[in-house]
Amino acid sequence: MKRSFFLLLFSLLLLWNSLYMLTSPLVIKSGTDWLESILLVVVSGFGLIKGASDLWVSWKGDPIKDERIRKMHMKASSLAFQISIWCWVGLMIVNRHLSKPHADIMETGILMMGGAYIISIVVIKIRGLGDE
Amino acid sequence: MNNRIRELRLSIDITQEELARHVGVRRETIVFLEKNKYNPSLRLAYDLSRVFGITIEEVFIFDEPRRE
Repeated sequence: MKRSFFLLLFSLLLLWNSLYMLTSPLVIKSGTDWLESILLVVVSGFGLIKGASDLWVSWKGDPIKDERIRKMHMKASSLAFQISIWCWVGLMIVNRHLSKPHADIMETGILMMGGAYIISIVVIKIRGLGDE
Repeated sequence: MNNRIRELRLSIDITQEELARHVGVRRETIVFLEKNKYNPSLRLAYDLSRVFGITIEEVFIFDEPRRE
């Protein structure tokens, strides 16, 4: 419960900050900045939903994690890892043309990893775990 | 693999939430099980069959051909 509360609080602050970044012309200067801000909004939004849902579940007296949730996170992690590798390769190729500083590319890559994890979770939730 | 969880749950007149509490999982897991979107562990299958008072084979139906 305490962990869910902190996740909710942290996500709320992150979402507020990322929305501020998205609307501020001082921060958004290029296409990469747009991409980073949008990814940050998606990641923090996901954290907010997860924190709120975990709080709701624990308030009802249900377990926050059961065997399906554990299996889902395990599969999502492995799927996200594979997607992330391709994201990093893509970023390396794109950066040859953009010549951006490595720190900026690292930021985008890390946020893309978060995005890949969220996509994996959503896909698994829709498709179900089946014979895993 | 198919299952008769929904049918058996309705026959003993309990809600998904109550069944979830009995076997110690989230209600969503029961929803996923009833929609055949999740195959439970042996432990959960055993707990479910114990709630219904029947054997695992009577709850879960293996109708798919064996995979190579």
